[in-house]
Amino acid sequence: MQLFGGTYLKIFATFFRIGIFTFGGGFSMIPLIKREIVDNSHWMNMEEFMEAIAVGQSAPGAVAVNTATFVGYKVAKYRGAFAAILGVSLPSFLTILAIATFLLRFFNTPLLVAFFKGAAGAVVALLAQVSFVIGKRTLKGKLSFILTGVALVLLLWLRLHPLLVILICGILGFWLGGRTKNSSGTPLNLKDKGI
Amino acid sequence: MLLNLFLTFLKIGLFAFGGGYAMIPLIQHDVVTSNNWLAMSEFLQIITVAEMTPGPIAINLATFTGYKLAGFLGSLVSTIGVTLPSFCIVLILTKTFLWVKENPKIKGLLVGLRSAVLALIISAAVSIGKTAFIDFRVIGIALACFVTLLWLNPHPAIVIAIGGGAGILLLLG
Repeated sequence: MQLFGGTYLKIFATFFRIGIFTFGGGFSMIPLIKREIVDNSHWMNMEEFMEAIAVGQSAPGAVAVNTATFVGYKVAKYRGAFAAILGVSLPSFLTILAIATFLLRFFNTPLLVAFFKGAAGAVVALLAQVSFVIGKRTLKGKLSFILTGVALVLLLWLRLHPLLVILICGILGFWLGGRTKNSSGTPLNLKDKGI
Repeated sequence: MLLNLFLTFLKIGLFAFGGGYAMIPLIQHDVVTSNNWLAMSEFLQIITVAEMTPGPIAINLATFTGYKLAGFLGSLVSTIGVTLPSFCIVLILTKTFLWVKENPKIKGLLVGLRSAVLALIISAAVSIGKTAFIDFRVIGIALACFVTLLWLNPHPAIVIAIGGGAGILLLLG
């Protein structure tokens, strides 16, 4: 592989494509990233790709951005990581900017008000379904049930700040994790995604 | 305002374990609940657009929220803020992940973080539901969407578009 600007440009272009063609973010991106990175570019084998996905989901922040950073770094170090992040973020950034600039003024027309009211119902349904999906992956072993219960009480009843709840559960998990066996949830079952 | 936005999204990027959906409750807390920068209905519009446009939800949410609050520069600093923690943490993990992954304490930490995120997303569904369910017809739309999601598992953007279409048919006028 040539080590001039061509590599960076190729990383940028690949992740730009991934950014354009994935709606809904996160998990829906995984099959497309796999096709681009493993099948087309041969930048990674399947095992390295699984590691990239695992890191992408374990680190905080957008899964797609994390995975892009990891792949970019493996291919061409820091500049590669930068090119990948720029590529995957730019389509979103430009699309939203265009919508905000040209369409925001129509958001209060009766038609769009009705659209957004109906869509809000769909958003609630989507969050409920995401809770189901994440719940199935997360709730494995005693520790995860206890911590989810604790977090729900802290959030809905005591109304603590979300970041505080994340910190408390992280510390409890870290502290209890060394003591209980088989308590880890699996990040993602790739078989479920048909990969 | 720009510095505030940058720091807010930096913090959100640093703590949103689990990607874009985990960001919804965090942004809601900082932008809607504690600072009153946006009304809940405006935030719901942002989520709707973020789900229906291409790219990572996290980037869409940050760009749109930033734009609503401080124009182009606002969207720029929010997006940089939300991606910067990813960039730094992933670069550290590329070197340490295989060691980190097998450590039982770290496994416990990840279980804790994921459990908190699950609870956060459930609480977001509850609090957004309280705002969205102003009308029994919206509750009907939500139920129909939920059943469709569990049954056919269509793409999120399609579900949002259908929900919005149903809103136009049922609620216009």
